[in-house]
Amino acid sequence: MLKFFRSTTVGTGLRVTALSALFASISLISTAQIASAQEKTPTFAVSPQPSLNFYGLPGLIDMPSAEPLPDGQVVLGISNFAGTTRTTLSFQATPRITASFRYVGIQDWNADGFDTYRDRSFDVRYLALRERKYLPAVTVGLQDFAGTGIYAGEYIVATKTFDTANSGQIKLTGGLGWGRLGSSGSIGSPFGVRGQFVAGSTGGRPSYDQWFRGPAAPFAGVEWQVNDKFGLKAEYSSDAYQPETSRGVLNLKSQLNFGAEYQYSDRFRIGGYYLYGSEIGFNAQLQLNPKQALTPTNVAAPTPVLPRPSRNSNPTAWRTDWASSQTAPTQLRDALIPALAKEGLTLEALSVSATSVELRISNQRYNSQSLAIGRAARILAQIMPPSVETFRIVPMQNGLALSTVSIRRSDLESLEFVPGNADALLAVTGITSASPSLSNEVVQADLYPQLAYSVGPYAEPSYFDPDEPVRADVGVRAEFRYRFAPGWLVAGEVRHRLAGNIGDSPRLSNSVLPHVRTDGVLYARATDTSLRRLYVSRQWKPGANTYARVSAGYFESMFGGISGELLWKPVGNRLALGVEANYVKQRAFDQRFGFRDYSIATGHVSAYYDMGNGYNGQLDVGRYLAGDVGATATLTREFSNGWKVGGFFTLTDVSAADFGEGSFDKGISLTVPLNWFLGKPSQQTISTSIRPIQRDGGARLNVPGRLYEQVRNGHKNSIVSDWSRVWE
Amino acid sequence: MMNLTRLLAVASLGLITACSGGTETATGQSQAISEAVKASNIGKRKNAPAQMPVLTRALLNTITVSSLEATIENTGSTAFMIPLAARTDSSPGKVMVWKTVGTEQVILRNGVLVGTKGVGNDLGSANAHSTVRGLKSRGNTGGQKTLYVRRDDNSTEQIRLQCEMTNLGRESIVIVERSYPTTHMREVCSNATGAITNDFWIEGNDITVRKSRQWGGPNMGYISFRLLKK
Repeated sequence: MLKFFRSTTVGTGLRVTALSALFASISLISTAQIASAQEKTPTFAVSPQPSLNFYGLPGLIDMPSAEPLPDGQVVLGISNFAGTTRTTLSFQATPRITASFRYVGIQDWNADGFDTYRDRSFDVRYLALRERKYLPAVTVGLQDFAGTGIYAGEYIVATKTFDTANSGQIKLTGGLGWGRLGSSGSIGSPFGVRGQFVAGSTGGRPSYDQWFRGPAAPFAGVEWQVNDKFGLKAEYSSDAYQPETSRGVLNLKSQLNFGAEYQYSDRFRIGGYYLYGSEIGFNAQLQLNPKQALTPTNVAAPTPVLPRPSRNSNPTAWRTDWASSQTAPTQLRDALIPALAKEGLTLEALSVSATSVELRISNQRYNSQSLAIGRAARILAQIMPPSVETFRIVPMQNGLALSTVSIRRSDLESLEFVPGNADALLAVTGITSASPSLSNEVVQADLYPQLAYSVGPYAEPSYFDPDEPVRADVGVRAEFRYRFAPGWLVAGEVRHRLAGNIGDSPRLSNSVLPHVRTDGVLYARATDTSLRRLYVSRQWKPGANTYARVSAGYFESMFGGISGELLWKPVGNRLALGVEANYVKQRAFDQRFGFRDYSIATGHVSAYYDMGNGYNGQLDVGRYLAGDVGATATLTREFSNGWKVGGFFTLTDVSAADFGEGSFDKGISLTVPLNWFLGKPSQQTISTSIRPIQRDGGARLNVPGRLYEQVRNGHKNSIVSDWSRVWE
Repeated sequence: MMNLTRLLAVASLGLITACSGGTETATGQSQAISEAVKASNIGKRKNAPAQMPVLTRALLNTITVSSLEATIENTGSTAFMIPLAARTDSSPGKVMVWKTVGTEQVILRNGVLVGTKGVGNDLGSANAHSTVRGLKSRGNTGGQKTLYVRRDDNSTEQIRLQCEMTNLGRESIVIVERSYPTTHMREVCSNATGAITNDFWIEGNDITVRKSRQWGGPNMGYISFRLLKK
């Protein structure tokens, strides 16, 4: 007969009911009587957070400083003066490199065909020298380095911080600027003549011939952080604002700027300024760091590991004859299913022997695989007979067995409360490949079919129309996913627009390429009710390290067809290789079941490389939707809590002239896990990709369910990266 | 032109929360919005905070199990806890896992804080060797202490502290109408970024920590414990 060991508490037979009445959960009381600690307690290792300038980067008022942002910091700066609004998103991609994307609007431009001039630009900065005791930090920066725009400039800048005993902190900054930042008070052209932007160019390419060329001019300033809340700034600007003054946008009377700033919270700072002798300005600065959640995630405490009785004290409990019972696997399965379900885990398959168990689970609750694995291990420790020493836990993703995490039960028992318990357990845990299927398995009989559906609102933004920088459609959408067997999926989504103005844009495509992406306005105009997706797919593992997918249907709003993908990704490898082939037709504008008269065979060979420390690279080489051939390079910084910030660009055999404005496809992407905001376990994320402009060249098909992102989450590097949560 | 029906529909969009169902968890924008709305407690009636029971010795006498009171100073939250599990392992001291009637746990090793779970800003684990040794000896001792705290990006940060334990002498403390003769031990720990002070009141000749105030990490701050019933 089987003996299951279940969780027990110390002091069984407690008068828990009475206790509950007395100890009525947690409640809040005033702790005014508790003396607060007067000492400065130890802190996490955090870098100082500099204030931002009008370009949304570390700086004074309009001029940059040399300070880096804390590593991983994502900042949003919105500044306004003289009818000029700059909205800048910056990211500290590495401890030394800062990258920015900016959108600017200048009112009353009244030239070049614009009433209001709008433009997008990219900046990049490099911290060449960190600040030392006697030496300043030094940063080299490129501003608007790839645009058609008016902000092109370069700088080298130094900043030194001085802490005073009682009067706060003072930062002195001095630098030399070129281009826009060298337009006032020039001291000459040390590196030669600056190339000129050619009118009518499609822009968007790095302007190497301009960088650090032409007149150079010094700038300087001081920031006095009076206390934790208030800061004062003064600067001498080297920007003559020639484009603005020549168009009457700005009446520049002085190169001196002054401002005062208030730190409203750790993340938010506002400032008011007097600029160029004639203008009042303001600046709002929002700084977020993936490492510091808006609401720290908190999950309910787990049941501790239940240790087995010692073999000497209870040899009967360690007998192995239970394993010969035909019903043992199903009894154990039936005991595990509800215990796992309480943790948001689903038992997909189980195989047991006298000394080991393999448990295949899917995780529907936590965005950390390690946390799910840790919970599953403790549930096994509660339920498996004592003779079962080896736990093999296999995370599953839509029918794919991702990896095998092997944990010794005795390690679980002995390491739970030791210092550094996560690292200690990792050192004795094996993470290896998982076989496509499990022998001698018992499965959860009623696992299929599975249906998920949801109905709710949606918002679809469209950015950077010169007439209307932000357009959006909003409405209601209904989606479903139906799985009738392991690896199979039928999914669809219908949207009904209730309001919006994307279709109101008068700007129709002028592309000379097949209009594979630039007819968005026509799609938006054609219908309020659209079938966004309806497809069937199957994915499976041909081998221990290979994954395959085939899909057919309406993949996205603009294309439908058939798609096949094969991925090679060993569990412990940093490198993965994939190949994808698709034959698709362009969908009719009304987004129902019809197609237009355009079809294309498109596909890519892809290499994915995990560079460590959260940096991931991807190279896709192949044929794009417009028939152009080329490659897409993507670099993403990923944090193990699910934050991702990335950039990509695509070069194909389409010329810059044929591509149109921007010369080639490029953009940034941002993914934020919902639990970072909410503090509760969730697998939901908020994602967006922003392109300066969407054209037809370098456009890739959007196929749902690509394999790499599904697979890597359960592979070694991903599991190790958030292993600190295994005991949660 | 937007008609009245559409206007009403748009106006009500903000009130729509996604509904979902089925045998697997839904994903997507609608579901994300739904989760966010649920978490924000929009539309939920706010309950008045539960009132703390007035602790009296008579009340404690009716309880048949050990009980611990824990107060997180940063939040002002107080919880009453009962033992969930007891363990011994390779490290010195006996581990006791205490739980609330909710989902929180604190883990004490001979009364020394070595972990929290489900509390928020949790202490993952801690090296309590030198503290346990100091409390046992009642002497002026010292040693290194390491706290392992998970950051919000799922990395673990080790906070290494250099500690000195001092015997401040005998002190009588009162917990819910009862006086306990104790020895007051103070542990002062520091590193380059700051310093903390942990206080322990140890009862009698054994190593029962009757009362303590201990630091659980930069975000957790100090927790005060009172052992209401041994």
